[in-house]
Order: sequence, then C-alpha cells, then structure tokens
Amino acid sequence: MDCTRSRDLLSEYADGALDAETRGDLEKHLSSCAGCREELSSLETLIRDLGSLPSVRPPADFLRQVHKRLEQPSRLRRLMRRLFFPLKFKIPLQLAGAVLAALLVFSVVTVQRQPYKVAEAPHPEPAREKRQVTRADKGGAPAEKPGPKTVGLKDGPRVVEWTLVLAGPAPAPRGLEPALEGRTSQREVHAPQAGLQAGDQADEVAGRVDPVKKSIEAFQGRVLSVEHENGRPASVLAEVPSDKYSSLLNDLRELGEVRVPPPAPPNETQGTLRVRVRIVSGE
Amino acid sequence: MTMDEGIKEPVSGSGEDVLLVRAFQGGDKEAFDRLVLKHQDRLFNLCYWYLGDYEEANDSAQDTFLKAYGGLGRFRFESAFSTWLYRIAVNTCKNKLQSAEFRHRHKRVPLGGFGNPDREGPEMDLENGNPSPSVQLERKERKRMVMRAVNGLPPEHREMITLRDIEGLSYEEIAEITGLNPGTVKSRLSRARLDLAGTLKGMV
Repeated sequence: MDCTRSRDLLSEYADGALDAETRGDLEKHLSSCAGCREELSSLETLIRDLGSLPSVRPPADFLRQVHKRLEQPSRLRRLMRRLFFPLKFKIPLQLAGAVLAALLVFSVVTVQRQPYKVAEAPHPEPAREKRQVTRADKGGAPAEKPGPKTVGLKDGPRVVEWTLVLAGPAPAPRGLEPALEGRTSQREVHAPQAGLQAGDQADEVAGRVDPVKKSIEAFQGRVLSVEHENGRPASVLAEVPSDKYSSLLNDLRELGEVRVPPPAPPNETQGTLRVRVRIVSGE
Repeated sequence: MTMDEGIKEPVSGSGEDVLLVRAFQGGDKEAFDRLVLKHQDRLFNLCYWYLGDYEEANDSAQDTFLKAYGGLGRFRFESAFSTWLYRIAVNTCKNKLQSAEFRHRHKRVPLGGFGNPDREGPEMDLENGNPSPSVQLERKERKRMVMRAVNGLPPEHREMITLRDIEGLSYEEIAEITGLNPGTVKSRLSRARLDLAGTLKGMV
C-alpha cells in the first residue's frame, strides 16, 4: 500500500469502519511510514477535539416559540382571510370592483380608438387652403373675375388696382374697367382695349414705369414685378406697407391722375398691401 | 386494506419516538411537544454548527419543527423519526445558507459563536473536571482554533464534520439524511477531515 491510498483510508480507520483485511494492510503500511502515522495521529486528535466541542442549547422558551409560530396562521391563509373574509361583505365588494375595473378598461379602450379614427379622416380645411395658395402662386395674382377691384387672399396681402392716367384726356373709366375685370391675361386683353396706337404712347407708358417704381421704393414698398403689354412695360405690381398707402397714392398723383376704383382704400395701418399700378396713356 | 396496513414497521429509532408519532397521528397534539422537547437540543446543536450563528440556528430549528408538525401526519416510519427530522433540518439549513438574506447578513459580520473567539456562545456546555489553569487555557485555545477552522470549511465539508464528528451519526444515517450514497459520505468525510487538519496545522 502506498501513502496516497493510506491517506484515503485513515479517516475510516480512525472510525473503526474498515474491514479486517484492509485494516491489516493499512496497519502494515503505518508500521513502516512515519508520515502516515503522524497524519493518523493529527486526525485522531482532530476527531477527539470535534467530539468535545461545546453543545449549544436552544433558548429556554424554545417550545413556546415553536407554539407561537404554530398558532400564527400561515402567510397564505392570512392573505386569503384578509382578501375574502367575511365573505358576506367582501365577495360582493370584489365583484363590484371587478365590474368597475372592466368598465374602466372598456372605456379606456373606446376612448383611445376615437382619436385614431379622427386622425385618419381627411381634413377638409387644409385642402381648401392649399388650393387657394396654389392658385395665387401660379398667377401671381388672383384670376380676374367680375367683382371689386380690391381682391386678395383671405389671409394674404390684398391687391389694389390703381390706374395711373398720364397727361392728356383720360379714358372713360367705364371703358377701362370692363377690360380689367374681364381679362384673363393682361397681355391679351388690354392692348386693343386701351385704344393705343402702338408707338409713342407705348413709349410714354414705358417711360413712366421707372418713376412709379422709385415712388414705391421711396415709401418702403417693394416692386414684385413689372408686367408687360405688347412687349412693353405697362404696370407695376408692388407690395407696400399699409400705413404708406395714402402717401404713395398722393405721390403717384404727381405723375398723373390716379384712379382708385371702389371699394375704399383699406384702413389697416399694419402689414403690407399689394398694389398694381397700371399706367395708361391719357389719349 | 386498513390504514395501518400501509404503514411499514419502524426501520429504526427509539420505541418512544414511534409511540409519540403514532399518538400524534391519532390526534394527541401534546405528543408533538414531547417530541420537540426530546429532540430540540441535538437538533439545535446541529443547526448551530451547520450555520455558525445562534439566531439563525434558532430560526432554522423552529422552521424544522414547524415543517415536521405539518408532515408528521404523513410520516410512514420508512426511516427513524430522528433521521427524518434531521433530514428536514439539513435541508432547512442548506436553504438558509443559500438564501440571499443569509448571505447578505453574514457578508461582513463573522459568524456568531464561531467568529468571536472571546465568546463561548449562549447556553454552551462547558467541560467538567478541574484541570490545571494552564491546561484549561490550552484546551480553550485549541477549541477556539477548531471552531474557527470549522467555520472556514466549505458547506459540504462542514455538513460532514457536523453530522459525523459533532453529532456522532453513523455513515448510514448520514447517507440517509443527506441522500448521498455511503461511499460518497466516507470519501467526503475523509477529505473534510484532512482539510480541517491541514487548516489547524497552519494555524498552530
């Protein structure tokens, strides 16, 4: 027997648990191995020491503590009792609670669905506004239709049509207005209606475009475009501050007669106003 | 078939235990008290050395008897009552050792009676006799070292040392209590003892 095997058997040997044959083999090894004898000795001392360790006793009232805990209802039983007893009161209350909870859940689910449906439905207002904006953007101004001369978008700048009549006999206003109101394109309609005989009159009109622009700019206005007729400039579209409306009108009157068709000029003193100054020859 | 025909003859254990268990099963609740009083000291000692803390041992010993109270009606004498009771105790202590609560409580604080060498622990039996003061001191110091060394063992080794060397149970009883086979008990006990002896050698 070697020392490894001997060490494995020492514990059982110390307990007297080995069979006779194995015990004999081990004792033979021990008689010739001081290391294993020393190991056995320390093991026997240890076992003796462990056996003499003090016993630890329970507290004097141990049984009473056990009884106390036995008398306590279990946690589950206590919970059940708290939840359901007395049955006469708590069961109807719990049923009512369950119904209320179900109603609450139902209402929450229903309320959550409604906004979802509304959100999905097409919104008519933005669509209409979009159409208006598109039309305004394309034409630069609303398409002319019979109606007042002052036109504009609901929320956008108003466009006021002025006619600046240069020196010479003024054309009859009635003759001019149908032309303005009925046109679909300024280029197409006004040249024959104005009765101009192309040439000097057209040059005269074109020559007044710059003074008109300067006048507009002098009153913090902004020239948006110069519109042409028969290839020559004929009117100026501008944006002017509302509070400069009257001042600009008076200034333009220095260049000629300015006809402002009804309705009356706006009273706003804030924001901007769009003005189209159409320049016509007085002959 | 009557109910008694299903009950096996007691495997082992004292005749008193058998009588008390049968009395309890027959409706005598006071028989349980007598079983508690009879086994509480050894069972408590087992829990104490298993866990190394007096309060934890008290809690586990009480838990063990509560579980025994709940299961005693179904006890069929397939093992001795004491073996059955120890099995409950060992499982209760094992669960406690593994519980996060126990680990948290004992993370920093040294285990009750083991960790404090100046404390003998509550209700400890001290040795009788009148050896000389120097011998008494030497023995006391040796015991403290052993206690500390036991405390430092891994749980599976401490279990073997407690059941065999402190409680004095046989290999077969230990196998029955722990559910290990006797061969495993022998080898595990051997390793535990050599481990402990090596630790003590290092401490001296």
